[in-house]
Amino acid sequence: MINKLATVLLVEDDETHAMLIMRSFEGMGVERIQWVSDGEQAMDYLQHRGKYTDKEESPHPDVILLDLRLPKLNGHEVLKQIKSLEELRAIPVVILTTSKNEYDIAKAYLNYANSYLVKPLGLDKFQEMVKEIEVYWLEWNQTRPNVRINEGKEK
Amino acid sequence: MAKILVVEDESIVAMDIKNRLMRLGYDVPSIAYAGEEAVEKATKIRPDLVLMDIMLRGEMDGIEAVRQIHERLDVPVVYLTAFSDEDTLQRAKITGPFAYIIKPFEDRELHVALEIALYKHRMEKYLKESEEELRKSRDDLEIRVQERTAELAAANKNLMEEIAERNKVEKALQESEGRLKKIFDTVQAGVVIIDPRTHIIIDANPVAANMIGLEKDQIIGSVCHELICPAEIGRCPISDLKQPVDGSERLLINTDKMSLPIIKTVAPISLGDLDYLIESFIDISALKQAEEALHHKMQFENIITTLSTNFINLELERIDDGINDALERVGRFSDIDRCYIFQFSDDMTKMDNTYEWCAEEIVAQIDNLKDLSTQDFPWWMNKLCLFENIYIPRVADIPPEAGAEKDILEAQSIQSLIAIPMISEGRLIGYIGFDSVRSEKAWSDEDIKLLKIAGELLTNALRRKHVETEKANLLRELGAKNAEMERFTYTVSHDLRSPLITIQGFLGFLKLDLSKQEDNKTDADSKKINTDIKMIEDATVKMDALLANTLELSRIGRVANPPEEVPYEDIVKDSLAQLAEKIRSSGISVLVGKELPQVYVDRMRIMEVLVNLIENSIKYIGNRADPTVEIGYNADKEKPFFFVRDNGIGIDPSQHEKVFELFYKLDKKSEGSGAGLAIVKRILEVHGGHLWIESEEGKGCKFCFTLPLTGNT
Repeated sequence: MINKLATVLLVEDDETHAMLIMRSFEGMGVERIQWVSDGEQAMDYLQHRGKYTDKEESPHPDVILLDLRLPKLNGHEVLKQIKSLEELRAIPVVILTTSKNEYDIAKAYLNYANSYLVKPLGLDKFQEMVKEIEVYWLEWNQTRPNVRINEGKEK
Repeated sequence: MAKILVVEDESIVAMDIKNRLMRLGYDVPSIAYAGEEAVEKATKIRPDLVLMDIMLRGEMDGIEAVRQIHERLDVPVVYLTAFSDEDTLQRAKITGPFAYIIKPFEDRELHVALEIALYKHRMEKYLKESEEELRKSRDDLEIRVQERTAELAAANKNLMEEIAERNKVEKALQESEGRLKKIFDTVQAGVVIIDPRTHIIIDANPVAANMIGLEKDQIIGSVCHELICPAEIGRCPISDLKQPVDGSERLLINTDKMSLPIIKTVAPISLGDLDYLIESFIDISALKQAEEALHHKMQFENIITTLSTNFINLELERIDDGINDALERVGRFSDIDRCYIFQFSDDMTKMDNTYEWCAEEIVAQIDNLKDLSTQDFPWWMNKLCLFENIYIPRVADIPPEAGAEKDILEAQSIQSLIAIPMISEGRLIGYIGFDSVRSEKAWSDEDIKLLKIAGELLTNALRRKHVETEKANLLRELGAKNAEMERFTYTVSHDLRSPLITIQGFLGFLKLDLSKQEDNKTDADSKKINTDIKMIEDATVKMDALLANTLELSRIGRVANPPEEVPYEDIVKDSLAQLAEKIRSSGISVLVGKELPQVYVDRMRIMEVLVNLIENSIKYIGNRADPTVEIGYNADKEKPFFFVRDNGIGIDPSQHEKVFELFYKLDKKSEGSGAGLAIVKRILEVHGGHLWIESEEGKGCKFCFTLPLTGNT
């Protein structure tokens, strides 16, 4: 079933959180984590700009884990840009943040977030959550196939 | 033949006498034998003569019988007697007998006696009748004379009465004429009599003369329209328009050429055989004035009612328009040239002309009358502070102690004015003024009362504006506080949770890493354990910094040093002294501007602001050849502000608001918790100032802020 390594784009400004997440993914062995620490870098990565022009080195992600509080371009703005671009909007974006603020949650869904997760306290829960993300989004979930559909013809 | 009644108690004698009498030619129809019988028979047969024997048998003698017969009949009596004593004769005499015949007697003797008695009786009777007739005629005459006399008397009386009546009528006529004249002269209405053909006045009463102001002689002969109803010349309601009566309000022109409102009636009148018009009129100027005053008052009350209704429903932003509108309405209504409001500063040292309405062609003064010092007008202020109205009918007559007031009023060419204190909750907040510029003007007590009402209305409007503004400000402030509070709790909950997640996470890893068997441990494992500990340590340090900053931020508003007047330059010097080492090592040159003002601030806090801003500049100065920080003051008139400018990397405009957020960092790798600018912003807000950025990425950064100033710079 797994014929290629799945890619996770982690957008996280807090280095310790990034390390926590990445280490929690360790041992599952089915993916590679691409970590960027602010919103601008995230967009550069997704659009293959700057240091991310090499598509082999910076492959198209199967899921994006997006923090909201980010320097320069915040998580909401990154989400909005992703969902407004045709070639990016099919990528599942899982918001992974410390904020339980209703405003943040509502705004994220308004901008078509695919899921909204709050970072839990305690390693057990943290690892459990990361495991579920991996299972659901990288194993069960079917990503968009590379098939073109001409909607105009059906009319 | 004469009828003779014979009375004789001796029947033989009686028969004898009867026979003798019959021979002598007399008729003897009956003989009576007693006195009573004699009376009865005499009455019955009515004899011409009674021959009576005196001595009769029975109760009644002859004399008594005759007396009774004479009571009933006028008949002559001749007594027969045989003897005659003196008493009897005396008694018989009283009965007036015509004769006595003594028995015995001769026939002839009897005959003569009887004939004489009959004749005498006849003569007596005739005389009696004649006498009666005479008396009767005399009585008739008397009655006729009396009747005629009465007739004459009656005629005479009538004549007298007629004369008296005529006198009375004449007198009444005279009295009536006098009365009418008196009425004409006294009636409290002007009355004139007019010739309808020529409209010339032929008579006028003294009241008319008095109202017109001319002598009666001068009025008589004038054409009525010259004096009364000038507008109706050629269309006199009676003579031209053929109305039967005219009753209307018109004008009368008196000698001062002043029009007098009158109520007038005109009606035709015949005097003698000629037709005239009688015109009567009364002066209704007092009535008109009262009516006008009432109308005036009602109009004003209408204005006040309308204005109060308007004000009630006015939104805050439109209250100023409402006040200006009210000034215009009151100004136009009172026919004045300028109408305005002055408001005092809270400490009463200054006053400002805040609202004004000017009549057409009147020069506005509002811009010349700002920020006036109240102590320059002691007379004026003294009155207002006692809540007294200031009423100056002639500015020229203003008392000498009000010299300053006079100067400023004359500078505005004001001739008369009224100023009414505006009192809100027992405190003088300003006054409303009414100027007359083009002429002098007098206000009545009633006028002033009305203006006072207008003043109260405007005071309420101002008070409402004040309250509403304060309310709006409070609401805005509360909203801002709320939003800030929300941002703050959001930030705190988010940012404080962050290191906890790290700590808990790496504690878990630490446990895992430590649980590995000691003898199986690799270098990599030891390295992991060290990383875990390092992560936990860093997180606690970060947490501590966050908590310290949070506490600091929350203290800014609550714990403040009392503000003091201090030269801004001193604060700059202190700040630079504190940062001396950092500045030296960074190689930045610091420029301090000239002519820095005095500020009224919490000195330590403002120093904190400067230290933070300068540190920020040093942090983000980048790789400049000539790194510079400039600390200065822009003494712009409208909006002066302080600034800290650098020529560092600058901030993209999209980040200008974000950089003030708590714990927000442009660059994650830079030092500090990201609370510095939030603290700066908060300190300035507590001082009533605000903070903004003028910057573009790559072009340096300029942090600008305002602070309360004091004194002169």
